[in-house]
Amino acid sequence: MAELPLEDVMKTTFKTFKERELLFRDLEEMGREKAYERDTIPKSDKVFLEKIMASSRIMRDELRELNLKKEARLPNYVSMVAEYAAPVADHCEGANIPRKDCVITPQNQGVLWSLIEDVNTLSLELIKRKCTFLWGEVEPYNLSSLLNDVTACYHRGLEFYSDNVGKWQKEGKCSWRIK
Amino acid sequence: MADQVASNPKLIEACLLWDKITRELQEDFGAPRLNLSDLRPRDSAIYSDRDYAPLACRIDGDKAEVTVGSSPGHATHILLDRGNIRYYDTDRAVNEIMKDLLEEEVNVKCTVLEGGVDCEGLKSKVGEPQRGYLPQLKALFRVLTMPTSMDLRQEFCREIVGNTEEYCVKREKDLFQQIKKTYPE
Repeated sequence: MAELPLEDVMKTTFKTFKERELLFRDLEEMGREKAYERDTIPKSDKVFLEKIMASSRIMRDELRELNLKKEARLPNYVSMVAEYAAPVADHCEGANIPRKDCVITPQNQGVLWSLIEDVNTLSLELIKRKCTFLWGEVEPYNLSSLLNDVTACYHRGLEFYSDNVGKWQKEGKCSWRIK
Repeated sequence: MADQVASNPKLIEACLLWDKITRELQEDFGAPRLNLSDLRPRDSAIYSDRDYAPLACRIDGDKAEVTVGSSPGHATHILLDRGNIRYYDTDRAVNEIMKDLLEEEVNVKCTVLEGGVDCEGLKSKVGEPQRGYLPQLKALFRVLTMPTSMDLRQEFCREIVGNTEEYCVKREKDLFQQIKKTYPE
């Protein structure tokens, strides 16, 4: 039997808004911890990034259901950044390269690089500032910096999610604000 | 319902009626409920899947935004505080039909503009705390089941040799009368 996509597993396990919000906050915390541990081999970073990808898609879909299409674009882009970052983490874990030495450049990760640029463009449009802290600011940019930035942008998406989804009730194709 | 004060309960009730009608028309093509034999020149559904999928109604306070189709901006804004309805569409023929339906069924005064229809005259019932008059809002949301795929239905109708423009417009109004009869509440 085919394995369920991770986002479906998350949706089935964490059914309510509150449960999902707690899960997403835990993932955010995990991201900060991982980013801080710069000398560590990126063990399970791939799985972590896949969780970021799946949970961002859930946020995106729930925001879209409320017709908040613009806001939904931020977690959508975060999910794409995480999707392209996962193989990088996987490669560095397999080669026993610590996060700080797992260097990401526009030359070796062109698509990932432009996706980070896109997520910042979108963030500027939505909240008038970039959601990353280290991209374009530190040299070399490595997996630790990337985890920091992915988590920071994920946090912005989570803010949209918490501010909107928890305040709306939905039935069929109708949704209405309750708070 | 105490936690629902942030949105107008009459708009919510009317929206749920719209949701029920559109869902049932989409799920079973309306066939078991409506007599559509003379209304469907081809074995086509009332709504295309592509148009039905993005339908959404979002209510915030006394305002509602209803997405009625798949084209960008194909939506209706209901502003209860101003008694105003704005239907956005670029199809002139659909706009003319929507104007007629809104005036006849919702009892509002409408003008066809370049990009849609603008109407005034949504009422409130004297003595009720919330804005809006429920029968009028239900009539409005019943009419809002119509614009979804109306351009396609019109296109199908007009493709048939012998069908005049007047006939195709009348078909839409006949379809609405069936919906109104089938879904009084």
